[in-house]
Amino acid sequence: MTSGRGLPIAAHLALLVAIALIAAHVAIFIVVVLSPARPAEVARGDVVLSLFAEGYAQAAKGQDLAPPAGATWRIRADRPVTSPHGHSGLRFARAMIARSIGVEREKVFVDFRRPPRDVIMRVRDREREWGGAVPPASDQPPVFDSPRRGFVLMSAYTIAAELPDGRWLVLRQRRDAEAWSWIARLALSIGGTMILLLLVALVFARRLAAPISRFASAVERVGLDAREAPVPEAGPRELRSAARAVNAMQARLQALVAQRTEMLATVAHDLRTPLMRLRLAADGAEPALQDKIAREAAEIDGLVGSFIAFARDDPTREARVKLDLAALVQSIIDDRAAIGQATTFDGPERLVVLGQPIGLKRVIDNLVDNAVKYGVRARVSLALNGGNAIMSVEDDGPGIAAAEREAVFRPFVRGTASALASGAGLGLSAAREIARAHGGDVDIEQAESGGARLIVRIPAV
Amino acid sequence: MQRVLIVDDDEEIRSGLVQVFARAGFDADSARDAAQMDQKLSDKGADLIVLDLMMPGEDGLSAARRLSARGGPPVIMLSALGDDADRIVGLEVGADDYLPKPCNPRELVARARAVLRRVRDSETPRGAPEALRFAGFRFDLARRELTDPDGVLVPLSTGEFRLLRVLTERPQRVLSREQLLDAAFSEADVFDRAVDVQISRLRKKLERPGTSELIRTVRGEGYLFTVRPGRA
Repeated sequence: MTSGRGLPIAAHLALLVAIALIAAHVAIFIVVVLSPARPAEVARGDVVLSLFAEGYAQAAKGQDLAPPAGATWRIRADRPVTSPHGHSGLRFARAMIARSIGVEREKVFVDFRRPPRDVIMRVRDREREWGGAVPPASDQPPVFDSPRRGFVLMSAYTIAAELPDGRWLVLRQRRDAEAWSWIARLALSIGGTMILLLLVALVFARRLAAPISRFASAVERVGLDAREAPVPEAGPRELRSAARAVNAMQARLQALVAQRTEMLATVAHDLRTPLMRLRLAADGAEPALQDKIAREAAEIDGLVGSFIAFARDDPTREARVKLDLAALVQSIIDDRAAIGQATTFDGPERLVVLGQPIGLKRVIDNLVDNAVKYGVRARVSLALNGGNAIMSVEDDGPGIAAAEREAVFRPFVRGTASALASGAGLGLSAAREIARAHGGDVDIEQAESGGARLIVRIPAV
Repeated sequence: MQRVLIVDDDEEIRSGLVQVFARAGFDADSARDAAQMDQKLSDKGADLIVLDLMMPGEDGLSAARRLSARGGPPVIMLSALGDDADRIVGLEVGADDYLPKPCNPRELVARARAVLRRVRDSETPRGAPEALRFAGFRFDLARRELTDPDGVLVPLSTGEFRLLRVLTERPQRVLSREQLLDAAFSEADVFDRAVDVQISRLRKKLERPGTSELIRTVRGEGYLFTVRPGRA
């Protein structure tokens, strides 16, 4: 793309205006100069007269008439009814025609327009220039001639005379070409210029807009995931500097993410290594102490885990796949039942959603963890309702007061009923974030048992 | 006596684990990093390696990748990063099992035994765990994922995964309930559910109309995986 030159937008616009101006002038030049307007059809009075006289003689004898250049013969039943233009030349011409074909003046009809003055001048100039050689179609002195000048010039003429059989012979100059030409030329010059300008403008608009929309989608990708490829530095100068700024920001973000990942790993390592030592040290101790240590270690470990999971949670990062949510819930419940947790599952054999396997597993794990921890048991059910997979997790705990139901979704907030229990208060907030990233949500209701009922909605396939 | 090599940069954890394994009847030895591990392997070898993920120098992932590439002894990865994504990474580089730190020392020993048993009995050669293919299903051993013929991910419970792994490792052979329990579950697991329940769950997940059954019950003897999986 040539827009890679990186001109500022103002230069692009100036260039567009210049090109448009040049294009418009080229179009007008082509129309006006290279195909100039045809002058109005002008005929010399004497030529027309002799043409008509000749044709009249033939028509009177019943002969066919050859079509003359620039005019048409017609024979009609009655006198033409066009209204004459009414100027001084008409009466005279009528008399001349009547005399030359030998009929009464009443049986002759003449109408013509005088050509515009500039046309007359042009024709006369040409005659003078060419020594009167153009267009002397007749040797006779010009019949319509005024004594002073060369010839009478006629435009848009209609000459008619009654034939001996009572019909009328009409000689009429074709004038459609003249009548149309200026409209056509106007249309051509306006339309042609417009199309040309539109094309130019379109090319420019595309050149300007394409890098901008590419930039927008690249920025959007980077915004979702800092590890995306950098924004291309292309297009107008302003866009290039914007892209450079975004890329610099992305680099900083990437560094931050890398730093955070490293920090989390270090924190996890530093906190869990002593826990591991503790468990190993307890291995030889008496069983009661061993159990106690194991429980406390597991508690701290759970907290560490939830902080780390929360800190590294990025619901947009994991790829989405078609996944059997029913099998996922069933497998989690089975695993928990196997280690002795009071969990049950009721749902269909199969329910396919488009989702993140690890993300959704975390949603279910968090809700079931809460139910088991604060509500003794987890009754999980799953159903398809109106295009959504609806999972509900009920417990037998004290429930969550209506006033607290929104607050518990905030990080580090735990319900008052669970204030004595352990936990960082991150599970629900993470669960809702993940569900929302799937286009679903997590909500809280009161279960019939009085406990809490967590409702997870995930759009089904 | 089976020889276990514990690789961890923490002195206390090293000695603690050595004691745990020694008490369990293993010949236990330890190394403080990957370089020392390589040296001890070339000196005396090992039947199993317990490998810490985060160590100074070469990290556990890279060491595990190297070991599995050259067909070394089985590896149990021990890591302070315990979530699912980390576990998958660990299993994908060729670890045979993955345990988060802190873990129950007895569970570690039980998992070690299970890995050793499985490796001994498996027909598939050791190496990076691969994906298997049978009857249109894809079974990814590292990610512990089963994908059905329609491309839908069908999550497996731990028990189902282990059973399916054992069944596909020993296809077209009748396996008794005891054999399955023995190979699929370590004694530390409190999987008190009967194998039959898990098998029937698994069977339901593998069931597709119009295809022959993949897990056949052999009355009075056990179960049999009817097709021989290919590598995906």
